[in-house]
This record gives sequence, structure tokens and C-alpha cells, in this order.
Amino acid sequence: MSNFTPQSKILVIDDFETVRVFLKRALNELGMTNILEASNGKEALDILNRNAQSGDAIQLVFCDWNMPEMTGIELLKEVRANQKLANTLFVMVTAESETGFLKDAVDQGVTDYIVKPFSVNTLRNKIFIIQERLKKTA
Amino acid sequence: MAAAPAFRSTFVLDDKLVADVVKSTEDTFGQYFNLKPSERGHSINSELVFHSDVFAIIDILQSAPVGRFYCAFTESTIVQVISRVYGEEFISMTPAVIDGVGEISNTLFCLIKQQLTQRGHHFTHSAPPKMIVRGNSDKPFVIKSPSLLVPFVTKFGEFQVIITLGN
Repeated sequence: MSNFTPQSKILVIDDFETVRVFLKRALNELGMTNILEASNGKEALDILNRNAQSGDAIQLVFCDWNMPEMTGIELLKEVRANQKLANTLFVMVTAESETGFLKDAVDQGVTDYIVKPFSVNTLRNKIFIIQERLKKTA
Repeated sequence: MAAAPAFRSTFVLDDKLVADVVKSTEDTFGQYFNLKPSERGHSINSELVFHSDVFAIIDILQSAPVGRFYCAFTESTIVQVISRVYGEEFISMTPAVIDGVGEISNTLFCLIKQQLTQRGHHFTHSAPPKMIVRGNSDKPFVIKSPSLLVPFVTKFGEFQVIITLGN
């Protein structure tokens, strides 16, 4: 898995602009400012591919589960199946916390997940947990 | 041929549902906006008339559509609430503000659905919210089916959460 620092490139994907703005502001508060955004899975896949090809890959993705065009789980499958993107840290953001949904995401190789609604503190804790996990596996 | 009987929801409009609505609303507004909405009493109505400048409707789906979820705001309330997320002051109902109504409604409905699921009710996946923008309309909106109305107030103004049974 790729590592990430406050300078790492992050992609926020949600069909609701309000959530993208909320996440960007929350990440900014945590010192992360290199943030791109997409409003659906197809647009996100294009951004991920373009950045990987330019040698400046996106390290961390926050992706909504329910989106038109391509859902979060469909995007996750595409990312994990693509050698150039497979190491991207992928955090699913969902209001659906039923076990079945989450099991699907784990089976497809999701890095972690956040259940909506969440606060800046929840996001901070989640990022800390992912960083600690990365340190252990480094 | 006789029409198939209408599917009835497995849940009812009762105090447990009111508690679910209140908890879910407090969670959503607390986490996203750092706001504490207060419930202003609730009512169960056979027919409901309400006023709203903008609201979202989400179909409640079990084995079949069993009702609808509404989240309804006055323009001044929602404009101030969404301004809090953007860190800039909106003065009217822009697409960003309407988008915010959709996300609040979606999150709130998912939380209520989770509480009902924990009590043994099963739901199929939700459809996206349908947005109705009426913008300072004096014309009331009428729901002609049994409805639970839970009004809330925040420091930015009032809003309403409504759950109906039937179509």
C-alpha cells in the first residue's frame, strides 16, 4: 500500500457538492491541502488514471458509496484491478452501515470506511488509524 | 382481475419512530454543522398540510414502496445552515444550497433506516432524493396519507421531518 503525508494528493468523490466541500474543509483543517474532487466514479477513474500516468499518483481516495454513473464499490473494483492504481488507499464513505455492504467493500480490498455523518475528529482518528496501520506494514 | 392488495409497511408511526427521527436529526446536524436541533413536539396526522420553500422526498422501499420521507426547510434556515459548511455566506437558494438539502435528507433517512433495521425491519436500497423547490411559495403542500410530522428548531430557524405511510 502507498504511504501518505500531509502533502500527498487526495481525491474526494461524492455526487453531493456539500459533502465534497465538507470533506475538503475538514482535510484542510488537518493540514492536507493537495485535494482534487470528482462528482462520480467515472470522472474519478479518469482523474486517477491521468495522475498515475503523469507520475504524480493520487495516494488516498475518499469515495461515496451511492453515486450515479459508477458506484463506489464499482470504482473500488476498477482501482484494485488496475496495476497502476492498485496500491491507492481507498476509504469508502457511506451512510449505509449494514454488514452486507461493508463485507462487500472489505472483499474488494477497501482500506477503511467512514459512516456518515461524521465530524472532523472522526476523520482525524480514521487517518491516524490508517497511518499507524501503514507504519506497521512498512 | 382484482388488483393486488397494497403492501403494508412493517413499521408504524409511533413513539419509537419519533425517537429514531430525533436521534438521527441530532446526529446529522451535530456532526456536519455543529448544530443542536431541538424537537418542537410531534404529531401524527391522517392528512397533512405544510409549508416549505425547499424539500426533499425519498421513497421508502421495503418489498414494495410503503411510504415517503420528507425533509423540509424554509429558505432562510437552509441558506444559513449550508453557509456553515462552505464558510461563505449564501443569500439565496443556490444549486449548492439545494444540493445540501439532498445530502442532509439522504444521510438522515439512512440513519433512520438503520435504526429501523436494528429493530428487525428490512429495506431495499434507497433511490436518490427528489428535490422540490418552491421558493417563498405561500401555497401549502398537502399529503393525503397518514403522516408523522416532527418539527425542529435550530438557531438558524425551523425545519420539518415527515414520514408518511402509503402512496
